[in-house]
Amino acid sequence: MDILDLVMKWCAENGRMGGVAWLSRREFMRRQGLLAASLAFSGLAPKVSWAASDRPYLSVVTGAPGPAARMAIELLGGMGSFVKRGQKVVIKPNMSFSGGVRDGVTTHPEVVREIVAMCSECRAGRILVLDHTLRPPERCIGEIRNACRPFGGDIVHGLDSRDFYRQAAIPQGVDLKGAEVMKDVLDADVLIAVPVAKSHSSTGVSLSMKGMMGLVWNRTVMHWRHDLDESIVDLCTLLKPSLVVIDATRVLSTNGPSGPGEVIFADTVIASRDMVAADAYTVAAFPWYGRRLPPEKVRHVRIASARGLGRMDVGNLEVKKVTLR
Amino acid sequence: MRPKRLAQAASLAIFSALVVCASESLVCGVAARWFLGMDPAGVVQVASAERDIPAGYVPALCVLALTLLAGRFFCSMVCPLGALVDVTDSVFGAQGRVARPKTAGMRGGKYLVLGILAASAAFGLALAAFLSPLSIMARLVGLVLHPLGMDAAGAFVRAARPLAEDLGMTRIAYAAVTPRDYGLEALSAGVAGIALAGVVLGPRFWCRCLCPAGAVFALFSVRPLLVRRRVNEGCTSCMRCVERCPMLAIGPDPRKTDHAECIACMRCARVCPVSAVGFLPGGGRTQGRGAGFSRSRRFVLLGVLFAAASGAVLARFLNPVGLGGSRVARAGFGVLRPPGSVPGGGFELRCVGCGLCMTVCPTNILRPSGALAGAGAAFSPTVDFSSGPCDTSCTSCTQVCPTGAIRPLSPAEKKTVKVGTARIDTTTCIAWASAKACLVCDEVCPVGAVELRREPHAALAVPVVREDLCIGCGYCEHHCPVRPERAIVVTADGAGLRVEGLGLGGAEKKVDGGIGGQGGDEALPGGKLLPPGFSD
Repeated sequence: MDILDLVMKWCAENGRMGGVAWLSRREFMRRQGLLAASLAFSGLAPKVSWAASDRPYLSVVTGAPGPAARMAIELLGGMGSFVKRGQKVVIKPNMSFSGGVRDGVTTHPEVVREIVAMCSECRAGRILVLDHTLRPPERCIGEIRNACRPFGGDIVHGLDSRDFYRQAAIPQGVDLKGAEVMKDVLDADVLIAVPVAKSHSSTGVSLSMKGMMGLVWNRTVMHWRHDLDESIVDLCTLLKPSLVVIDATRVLSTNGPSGPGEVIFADTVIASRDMVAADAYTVAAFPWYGRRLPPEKVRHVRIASARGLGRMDVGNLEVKKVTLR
Repeated sequence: MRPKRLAQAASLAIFSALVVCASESLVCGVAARWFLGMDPAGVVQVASAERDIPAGYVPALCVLALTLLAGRFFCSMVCPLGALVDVTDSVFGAQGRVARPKTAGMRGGKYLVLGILAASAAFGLALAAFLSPLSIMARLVGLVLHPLGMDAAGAFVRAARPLAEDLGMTRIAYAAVTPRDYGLEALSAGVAGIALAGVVLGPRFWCRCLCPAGAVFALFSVRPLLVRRRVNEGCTSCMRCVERCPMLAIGPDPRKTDHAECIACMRCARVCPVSAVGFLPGGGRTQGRGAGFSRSRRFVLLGVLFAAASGAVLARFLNPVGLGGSRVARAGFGVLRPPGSVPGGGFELRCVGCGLCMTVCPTNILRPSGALAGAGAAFSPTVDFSSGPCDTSCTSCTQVCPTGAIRPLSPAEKKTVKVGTARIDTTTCIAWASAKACLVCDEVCPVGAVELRREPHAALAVPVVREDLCIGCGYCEHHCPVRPERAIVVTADGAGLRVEGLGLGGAEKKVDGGIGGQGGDEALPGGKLLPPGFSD
C-alpha cells in the first residue's frame, strides 16, 4: 500500500490538489472563496515565496531511517540553512518511553543520529539532544545516547531535575501564560523537533507540537488546569522549532502514546520549517485507528492554524517526495 | 593497625559501601544481601515464625559453624554495629573503665531478648527489625546516612554547576543528584541510637546484654573447639585482663574465661604485661567458665516462660490488626508490598526490616510502612508512588531480600506479577467529573490497562481500568494530577496474582478500529464517533 498515493487521493477528493477531481463550478467557486478568506483572515500567505525557489514547503522521503532523514533535510535546503557555525542547537526527539524501536513509541535512534551528524557537519557550537522523559531517564535515553556517541559522549540527556528548568513567560499565550522550560532550550539558537509519529489518547496525535511538552517541567498542569489543546498551541508560540523532522519510519496508529498498539512500518520521514504543516501532513498521511482523518480533526492543529502559527491546508502546499531505494 | 581493628574497620567500611552503592548497582545490593544473610537473629525469626531457613541465610549458618570453632569472632571483627559500639565506647571512655560496671550481671538479658524474638515470631509478630544488629545498621546507613549524603552531594553539584558550565565540563553540569527520601528516619536513627547509648551502662553494653544475634553466637560458643582464649603458666594474676575485658568475660580468676561471653577481641592478650594470653589454636591450658551469670535450671526455665509470655503479649498488642492509615482503610485491601512479596501474613513474619529493598529501588518508592502495617512491622516496606512508578523492567528489590519475604522475580515474571490493581475515583477523576480530556493515566500506562470507554452520561471517553491487564505499577497514580488524593490509586487488590498472556509480557492490546480497543460498539468503525483524542 502506498501511503503517499492515499494522501494524494484524499487531497484530491477534497479538491485541494488542483484539477484532479471534478468539481461543480459552484463548488469550485465556494472552495476558492473559502481558501482566499481563510488565507486573508489568518494572514497566512507566506512571506517568502517558496514556490519560486526549489525548496519545497514539505519534504517527504521514503527509505531507511538515517538516509531518509538526511534527504528530507537536504530537500529543504540542507542543514546549513538552519544551523550556522558555532550556534547552540537543541534537538528534541521523543525519548519519553522505554520501548524498543519496533514499539513505535520513541524516535528512531538512527534518525536522531543523522540529524546530530548533520548539525555536527555544519560545525554547530554545541549540540544537545534533550527530553523530559516520562519513564526513568536511564531506561529511556540509552539507545539514542549510544547512537549519538560518535559525536560526543555527553549530548543526550533526560533532564529530570527542576534545576535544569527556568520560568519563561508566554506572551502570546491564550490559556497558558508561562511555563518552566529547559534552560538549554531557552538559551539555544536553533531548536529542531524530531518527534515520532504516533496516536495520542487525549490529543489525537502526538507529533511536533505535542512534543514540545517534553521541554517543560510540569506538563500535567497542561492536562488539568488548562485546556490541553489550547495550551499546546500556547507553548508552541514560545517553543517554535526552526526545523521539524517527523520520524514516520514507524507510525503507532493506535493506543498511543505509550502503546502497545498497531505499528505501521511506513519508512517515511517528513520535514518542514512549519510545525503545523508537518503535523497536519502526517495526520493526513496515515490511518489512525484504521481511519483516514483530515488534519482539522486534530484540535491543536486546528487551533494552531486558526491562530496563524502555521498551515494545515496541506493540499495547497508544495510537497517534494523522494523515494530512496 | 592491629588485625582485629583492621578487620573491624574493613567490615564496617565494606558493609556501608555495599549498602550505599546498592542504590546504584544491583551487584552491590546482592553482595549486601549476603552480608545481611550472616544475621542469626533473622534466622531465628523466620525459623520460628515460618519453620523455614531461607537460602539467603546460608551465610549465617556458615558463620555459626565457624563460631563452633572460633567463638564469637563475628561480634568483634565482622559486626558493623559492634564496630560502631566500639567507636562510641572509645569516644565516651567506656573502654578504659577499670571498675566492674553495675550491669555485669545483666548478660542474661540477651537470652531473654532472643527468647522474646523467637516467641513473638511464633505468635505472629516480627521484631528482628528492631533487634537485629545488621538490620539496625543497614537502616542507619541506607535510610538515614545515605539520604543525608545525597543531599550534600546535591548541594555540591548545584554549587559547582555554574563553574562547570563555564568550563565546559558537561558531565558535572548535567549531573543530577536525585535526593533519596524514605521517612521514619528518626525511628531508624533512634533504634541505632538506643543500641549505642548503652555506653552509659558500661562497655559493649548492647553486645553483652541485649543483642539477640550475640545470644545465638554465645550459645554456639560455649567452648570453641579450635581458637579460644588460653592462658599459660606465665600469668602473674595482675588482673589487668580482668579489668579491661569489655565483655566482662574473664575472672575473677584471670585464667578462667567465659567463652560464651568472650568475643575474641584479644584486648586481654594485648594488655597482658607478660604475654601469657593467646588465642592461637593449640598450646596453653583450657580453662573453665568464669563466674557471673548463673545458668541455673530454675533461672533458665523462668526466662523461657517470661520470654514466651512477653512474646504472646507483644504479638497481641503490636500486631497490624486494627491499625492502619487512611489509605488502607479507604482501599480496604491491606498494605501495598513490593512486587513478588509473599502474600498474606508471611511477608510481615519474614521481613527483618533491613531496608535493602528500599535502598535498591531506583525510583525510591519503597518506604517503611510506619503505622500502616502496625507498630511491629513499622520497618517493613510499602509502596508509595508519590516519588515515581514501579519500573516494569526493574527487578532490583526482588533480588536483595535475605529472608525470602520478597521472592526473586525474572524480568519476564516481573511484568506479569501484580503489585496491586489501580482504581479510579470517578467523583474526582478529571475526565469523569469535569469532562476534560486529561487521560494522563492512559498516556503513561505501560501495559495498556487503562481503557477509554464511552459512557452514556459522559461527554468524552472516560478511563476505565482493566483488572485483567493492570499490574499495579503505579505509573497512573504517580502521574495523576488530581490533589490532594489522586483520582487513580493502586490498591493491594490482587497482589501477587499473575496477569496471564497480556500486557507487557504478551500480545498487543486488541484494536478493532474503535475507541481504545474496546469492541462491541457498532457505531465506531466509519461511524460518527472519532478515535480517542480526535474531534470535529
